Amino acid sequence: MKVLTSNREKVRSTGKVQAAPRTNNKALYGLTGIAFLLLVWQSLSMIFGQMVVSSPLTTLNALILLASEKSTWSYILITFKRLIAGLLFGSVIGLGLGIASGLNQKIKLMLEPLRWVALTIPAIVIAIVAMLWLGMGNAQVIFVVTVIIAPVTYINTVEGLLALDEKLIEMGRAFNLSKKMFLTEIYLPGIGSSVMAGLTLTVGMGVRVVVLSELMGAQDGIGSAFSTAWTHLDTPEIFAWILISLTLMGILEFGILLPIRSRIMRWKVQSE
Amino acid sequence: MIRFSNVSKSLGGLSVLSNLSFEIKTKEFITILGPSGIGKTTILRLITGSIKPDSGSVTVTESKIGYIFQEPRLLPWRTAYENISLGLRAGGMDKKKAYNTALKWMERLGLKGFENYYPAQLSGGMMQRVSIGRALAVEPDILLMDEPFSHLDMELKISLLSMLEDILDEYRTTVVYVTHDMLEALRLSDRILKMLPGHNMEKLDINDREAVIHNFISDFIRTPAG
Repeated sequence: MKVLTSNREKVRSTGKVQAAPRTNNKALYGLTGIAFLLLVWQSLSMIFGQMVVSSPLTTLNALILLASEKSTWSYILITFKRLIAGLLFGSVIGLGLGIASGLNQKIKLMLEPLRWVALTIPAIVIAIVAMLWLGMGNAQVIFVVTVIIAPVTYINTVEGLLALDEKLIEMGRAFNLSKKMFLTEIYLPGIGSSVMAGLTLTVGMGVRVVVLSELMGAQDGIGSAFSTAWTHLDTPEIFAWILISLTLMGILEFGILLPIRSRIMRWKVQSE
Repeated sequence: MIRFSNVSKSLGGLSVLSNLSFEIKTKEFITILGPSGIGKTTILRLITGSIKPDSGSVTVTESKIGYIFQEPRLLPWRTAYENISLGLRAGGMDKKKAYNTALKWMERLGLKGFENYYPAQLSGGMMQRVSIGRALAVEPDILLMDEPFSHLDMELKISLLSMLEDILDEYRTTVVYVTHDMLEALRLSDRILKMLPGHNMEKLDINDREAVIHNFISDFIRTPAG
């Protein structure tokens, strides 16, 4: 057999050698950002007083106190479950409808008014309507998160499909790929980047919406705890719940979404 | 066998093919020659069935088609051997068997050791070899090649052409090769179909090399400089 690799056919660099220092730099910049935020927070607390802005140390004390209460963990778990359910429903609905719209112009035109309505109505209005329809509790909160998340995932899916290289689709047709293979080999991996970007955005939105919905219409969950702390004018506790919400968002983004993203986008990372 | 009978096709309101008729016999290596934009790729797309003629008919008696495009058109999110196995899996072969077949083709194409590389990690020539592997792995009854080496440098082009010639000697199949390079056409084909402006087609007999070379020189002289 002939040796076909000519001098000019060199494999491109995988870039692995430079990965470590870049990661260290990223961590350093990130820590600097956190330190800056803490500094601003402490300064605001000193300027406006503990009643308005609880200091980082007072908030930490309140957080330790909350952590010792059983109901705190129960509320976190309830909110987490609602959030996951809403994100799942919203993502699946958005992805499904997005694929249908991206592949069929007629479906896209039909869904356009619904997308516009869902994106335009403020979250608070959806929460009020959901309370009227579904009462207070799980169903209402999950419904609101779903309605807020679905259009964002939908738009990212449609955009991802529209940006897909037409030549790959023609290649798929030439090799007679089945509909299932088109979906698993071309469409889904092709929209991965766009959908994951949308999901990262929706996690932040999801936490905000779920807390807002709970604040308005639930007897439990983080939002309800916010409501109680606000009624008692307990500023340190309010700030402690803010930290808990942020941690929840961090767990979702870095503990769940990032590993999924790394798995899906492995080819892009290795190609860089 | 492939038969075009009075085929006309317009794309974007522009007439690309008009009343085109020709036949390609089984296991014949035919080159479609002609300048860019004259409708050579449209003929290949009509053969795959990805587009339909506006009038006339295209008859293709064989079903297994392999296609080597001008650019590799590899799935960027699949590794080299997964790309090669794509056509096999589309043909119903189970994943494991398809991957094993793909690995054999990788070795045959001099790509051993690069199985788990993604396309962006490979050079242009390597990517095109993966694309050749994808087309040949299905053991096609018809192999369509759309100027597959036009964007590669001369050294690589010659190396890949030799490799392809060796493989096609071994796996004799019907080949439709699109190019605008007369020398490639002379080197590879049994017959040349030369597409001319104004929807005309000239059939050149490769055995009458003197006539073909005369035709080539006439074209060369007619082509304006620059």
